[in-house]
Amino acid sequence: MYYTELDPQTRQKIFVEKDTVRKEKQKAIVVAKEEIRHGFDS
Amino acid sequence: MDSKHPFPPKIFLPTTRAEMDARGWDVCDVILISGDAYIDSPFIGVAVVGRLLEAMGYRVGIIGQPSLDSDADVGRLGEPRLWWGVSGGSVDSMVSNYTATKKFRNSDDYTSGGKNTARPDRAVLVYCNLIRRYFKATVPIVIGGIEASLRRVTHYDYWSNKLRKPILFDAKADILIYGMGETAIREVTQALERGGEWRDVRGICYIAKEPKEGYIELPSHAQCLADKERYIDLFQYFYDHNDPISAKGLCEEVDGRFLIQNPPCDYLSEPEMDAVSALPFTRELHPYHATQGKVRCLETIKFSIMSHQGCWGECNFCAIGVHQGRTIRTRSEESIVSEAELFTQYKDFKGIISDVGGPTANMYGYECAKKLKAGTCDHQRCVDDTHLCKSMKVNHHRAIEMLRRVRAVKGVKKAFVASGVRYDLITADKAHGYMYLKELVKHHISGQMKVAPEHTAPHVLHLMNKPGKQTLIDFKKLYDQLNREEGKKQFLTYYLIAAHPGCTDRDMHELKRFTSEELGMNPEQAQVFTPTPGT
Repeated sequence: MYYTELDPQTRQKIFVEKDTVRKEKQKAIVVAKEEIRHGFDS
Repeated sequence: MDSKHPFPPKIFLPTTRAEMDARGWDVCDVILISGDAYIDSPFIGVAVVGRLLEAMGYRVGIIGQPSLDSDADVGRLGEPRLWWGVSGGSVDSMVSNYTATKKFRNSDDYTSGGKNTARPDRAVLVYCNLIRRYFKATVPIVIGGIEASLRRVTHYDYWSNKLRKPILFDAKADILIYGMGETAIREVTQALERGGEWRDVRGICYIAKEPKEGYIELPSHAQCLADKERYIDLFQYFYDHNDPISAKGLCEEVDGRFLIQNPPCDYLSEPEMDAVSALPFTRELHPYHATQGKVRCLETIKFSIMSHQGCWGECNFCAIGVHQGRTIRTRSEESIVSEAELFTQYKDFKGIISDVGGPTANMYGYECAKKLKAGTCDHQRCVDDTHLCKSMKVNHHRAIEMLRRVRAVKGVKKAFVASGVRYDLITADKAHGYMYLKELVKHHISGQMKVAPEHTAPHVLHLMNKPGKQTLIDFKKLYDQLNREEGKKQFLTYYLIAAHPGCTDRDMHELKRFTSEELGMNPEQAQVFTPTPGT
């Protein structure tokens, strides 16, 4: 999938992030510290 | 346990000439070379191969991480009588040496001292060249392990960003054993011992001048280079023909010659799994390496128990299903309990078993009856992002009973389940799922349980072949409820992947919203996706 940029089932084009800096940015989005609003117990 | 060996075992396979001399050996039958230090553990493939052959009566030497600038290491045991074995180590050497963003890794859990100073890039190729440099016209070189296995047909190599040829066309080797390969290793050795034909052994690849009659002809390497859809076709055949019962042989043309892949070797039966587990592993780093320091991996594997092999979860970013197979091979409860009892004989065992598990901990002890009879289905997965096949009767009963017996072993204070748990299987097992999770919460985790939703965006989960987020929400409610009932304050931690194919910044923002608003936590870790061979 990464190489072909195609969904192997449908053969439709899919977005694949290949830029290293932008990959790190994707990671930074989810690990960014922020105030927790609400949630379950754990 | 073999009466020849002390209990617990203390004798390593030779890695020095002095050890060969002490055993009265003038020559080894087989010499195995690995990208890891020699760690004598049932979790280390090269050690398993060595012990299997030893049990057959062969003389086996192991050389871990040989130096590359002379024959001092590769030649220190002489030339083997039957074959050389080469493995890149427990992890593909490129994965081991570089991060997902291609930065060099400074640490290595399989190198003594922990610094990544002893494993070359593309270790399989380098070690084959090393042997050929110092041993002309030598006995066959057999490559195996995850690096060779997953690179056995045309494959995408992330580190050079191109399709590479099947590894046998780059490595100066004669035979490739793929998958777990226990049966193939025995049969290849016996064939070489007889001086007979080894090309019919299941579970191997080799190069031939002609395609093999009756085998499926894959798109050629040149066709894959010219057309990405042909590469997808190749991968689909490769993926589908990976089951010992249903798979056909494959051939691929590369520059006028052919890679021949025989159908996979048979899986081990339960008694055979037990027999391999009972081989006399010392569970230590060989003292030859120990002068440079400890290997970090032993902290987790020394007192861990592998309850089964295989995984039918088929997460698309993971190569375990391709390498180990998609059918679960389970060890008996007696064998697992015996291993726990063996731990209590070690002076450094503190009563803590680090893990009782496998690729997915809660696939122990049950399988699809149809799959066991006819092999994996061609175009139907056991589980995908939206459904669990009705033929797969998830049943945690045997896992519950096995874990109870392990924690009842005298001298065992705690037996952790640290391997991944598929939470969707817990909620799918109406009869025993609740009790299984209750037992985990009460006895087999400490403070936190790791689960692997990986993402929440439906289109990304679909491409990953992971279950939807509602399954996670349902599981979390159950987990929280059980912790309340048990009076425990234990948490869930989550494996998450960034930059998987299909994933955009927007999807990551939605994942962040989900974790903070619905899971009530800030993820501390996420993994940038690495496209490894075989995925």
